[in-house]
Amino acid sequence: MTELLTVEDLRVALPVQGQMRTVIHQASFAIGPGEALGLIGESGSGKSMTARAVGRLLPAGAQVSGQIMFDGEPVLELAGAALRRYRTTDVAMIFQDPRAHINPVRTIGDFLTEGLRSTLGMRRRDADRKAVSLLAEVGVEDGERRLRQYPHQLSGGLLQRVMIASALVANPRLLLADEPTTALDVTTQSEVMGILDRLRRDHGVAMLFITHDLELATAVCDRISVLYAGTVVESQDAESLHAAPRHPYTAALLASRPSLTVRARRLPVIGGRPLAAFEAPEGCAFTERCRWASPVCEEGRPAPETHDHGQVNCHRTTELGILGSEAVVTEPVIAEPDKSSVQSRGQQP
Amino acid sequence: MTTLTLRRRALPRVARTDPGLGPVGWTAIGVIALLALIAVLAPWLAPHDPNNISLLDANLGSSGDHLLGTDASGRDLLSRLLVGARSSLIGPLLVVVLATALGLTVAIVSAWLGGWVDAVVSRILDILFAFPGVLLAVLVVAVFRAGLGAAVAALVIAYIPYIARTVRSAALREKSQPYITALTIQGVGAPAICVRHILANLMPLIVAQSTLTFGYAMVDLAAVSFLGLGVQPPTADWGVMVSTGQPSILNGYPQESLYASALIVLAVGAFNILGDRFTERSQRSTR
Amino acid sequence: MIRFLLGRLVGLLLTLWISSFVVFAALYLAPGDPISFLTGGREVSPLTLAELRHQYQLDQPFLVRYADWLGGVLHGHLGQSIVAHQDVSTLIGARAQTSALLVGYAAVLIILGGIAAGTIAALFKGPLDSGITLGTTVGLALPSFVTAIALISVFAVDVRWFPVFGDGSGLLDRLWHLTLPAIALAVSSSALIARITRGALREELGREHVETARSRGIPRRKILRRHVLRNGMIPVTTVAGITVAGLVAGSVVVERAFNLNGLGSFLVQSVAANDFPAVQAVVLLMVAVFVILSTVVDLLYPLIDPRMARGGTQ
Repeated sequence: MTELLTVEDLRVALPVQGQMRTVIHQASFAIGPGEALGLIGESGSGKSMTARAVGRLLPAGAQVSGQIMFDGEPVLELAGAALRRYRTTDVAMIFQDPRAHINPVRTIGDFLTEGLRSTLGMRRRDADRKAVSLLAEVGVEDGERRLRQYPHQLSGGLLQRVMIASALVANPRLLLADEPTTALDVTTQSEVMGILDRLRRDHGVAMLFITHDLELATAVCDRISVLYAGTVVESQDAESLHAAPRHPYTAALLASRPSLTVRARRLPVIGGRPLAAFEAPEGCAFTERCRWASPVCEEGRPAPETHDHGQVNCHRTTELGILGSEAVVTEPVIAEPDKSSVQSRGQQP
Repeated sequence: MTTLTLRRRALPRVARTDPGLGPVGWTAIGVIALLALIAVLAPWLAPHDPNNISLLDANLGSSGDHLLGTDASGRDLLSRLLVGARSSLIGPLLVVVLATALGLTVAIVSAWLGGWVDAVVSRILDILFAFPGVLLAVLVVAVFRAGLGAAVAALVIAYIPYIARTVRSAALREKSQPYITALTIQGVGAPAICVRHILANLMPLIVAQSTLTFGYAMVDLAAVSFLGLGVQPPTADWGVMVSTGQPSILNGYPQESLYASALIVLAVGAFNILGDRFTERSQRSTR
Repeated sequence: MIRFLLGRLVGLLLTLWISSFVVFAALYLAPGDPISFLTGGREVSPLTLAELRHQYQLDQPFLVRYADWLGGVLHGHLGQSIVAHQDVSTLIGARAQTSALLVGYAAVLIILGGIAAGTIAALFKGPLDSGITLGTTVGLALPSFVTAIALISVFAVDVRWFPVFGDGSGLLDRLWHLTLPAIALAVSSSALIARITRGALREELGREHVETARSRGIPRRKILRRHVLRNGMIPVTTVAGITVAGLVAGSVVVERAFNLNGLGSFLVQSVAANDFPAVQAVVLLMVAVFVILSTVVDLLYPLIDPRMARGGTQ
């Protein structure tokens, strides 16, 4: 095994109003050293919780099963000092909203160097110097002055660069990036994403990149896993996933993005609504929205099937093979506004 | 960019069931209702004349004739506690009603008009904040002579700024809502908007605040009476009874002070708990 | 920053000045005539009456008397007590010390006890939390005079660990004597601070930046101290400041309950005796202390919450 991180059959349930709700049903994927894996999914699909499970940041009371191995170490069994060392030097998380995720009453310098000083025992001056050089790497000039400033004195884009610098400051081997640009202005999104992508490659750090943006994931990731209702339904190399999707959900996602060349009156949508893991039926969770659904789809969860470029979890994959995105675009759903909801079965009353 | 969220927030929101007031909240309502009933029916419930002095019967323990015993002047404690519910509850009620009515009006008018009216009102409120309730009550009593009326008037003035400040900021928030602009464009008059929309939407907050204020007013009024500046003896009042019973404690007869104290704590606790429940609910409904 | 400080100072002085006017005017308008107390109800000749009026400046127009009084106050002369025939400042001196000790003692109890109880309740879920929450609910419903009565009935009759009445002599003995009064004054405010602390810490514990700190491997103790407690203390400080300032008025009731010879008892006696100059002086002093304490807390606020600091925003 040469993988840095392997996640196998991860299952997570969280207590919601006294009941255990499954948020991740079955997630399996692997990331090699220096490799970037994109984890794609809609809101509620469990992608954020997957990243938190890897970082051991699940809320209290969460039930976790399955296996997460980091460099041969079972992550779920870490505790105490070993867990702190894992969090300090092995993985680092970049959160979605830097404004909320950086303590507003402590200085930028404190935020950047706290880990170095408190867990790695670095002296203040050395830690400051390291922080300034990392700030320069993420394109923040006059780092000395920035160290003394407070978060509210920095713009959102600048703060997210500080967040990226803070993630890299302890030289981790894996970055967990949870929609790192979603909370930013559109104009600064690509800038921050560019910095993150470049630094990750420069430092040779692997990355689990959580996003709902398929296009963005394709641009910065080597491989992509697609999450639906808490289950990884397809994993492929980024290029081939884009060109040759095998799961109907992936194909539908690809079809529903605006094309640069064809002017559409109305973008195709996937009928129905996305399901959360806890409400998924016995069979394939995508059945009720799938245009290729047949009775076989309702008979148990599909097992992963391996092919040249990756894996896919679909009962009918051998019959369907590679799904051209054109096939989906020709759906009549496009023209008639209400038809999508009428067609989909199992619509909630 | 590919947007995967096809219908934003299409996930079924877990229906936030309103847990209601809960058993504790309903108990508080029960306690308040019981005390109110006692206050109304006191003259018929009281087994003795609460002001009937009989020095031969001083400091009796509980007996068939005097269920809770007697005080140092031989007056029946149960009767005094029952009748005392009247002044002990009416005082805070007056304070809450008057202070809320005045504070509310001031707050909504100044929030709606804005400009110099708002500035002047805020300034006046700031100065009123400089006088803690009990201190203002002492000052007013010094001017108008001791009595429940003077103490109530003083607390009304002392509480107005607290009520006005809370309501004003809530009214400003409400005023900035787009629906208010929509109503203005439709030509709805200012008084109608203020009363039918702003006031109506602030009602849960006001109810919660008034309930809590009742508890504070009860404590402050009882304190003023305890100081001898509020309700005057021999009128039965819980605050007065705590004070008049104090000398007997040292003689080993603590019942008058303790019973009166217990009733004050019971009433204040009930209003506090209910006020907290109302506050939680009003916050939940505005979120 | 300097402009901010100056603005606060001007606001403070303005409030104090208007308060002094209100206090003076209120008692000027009072229907009772202090002269009747001076004469004690005896028949006196109109000449003596005029002399007395002149001596206590009761014959001057309102604004002249106000200006005189204010001038005196600024020079430390709080006026002449009609009952004691002495300058109020001399009468107040020792009593103010007792009251200040009482308020200071109670403030320490409130801040230490309230924050400690609130922190424990926030960090340890389960029976400890439920117990403290129940305790704060009861504590909030306990008026200071009720607590005082309960303490007196326990410590005066059954157990005699603490003195129930009297002021004591020497600092330690005085504090010893002030223990029960300070507890009586502190109970409901401690409950309030405990509740605010618990809420603030629980909120901070759930904040995203705490998750960030955990994800960086910062030890739990450090997270609690540097992030949860540090941030949670911001709202606690505000409430604690207002509460402690309010003790100045609350002490009146407690002093009366324990027969302490402090400012509060003096105020109540003076009101009962229609000693207007004394009432004016004490009320003004208490309002001044209350306003100054509140302003100090206001000024401290930017120091503990950098977001409130003026200037320096990008």
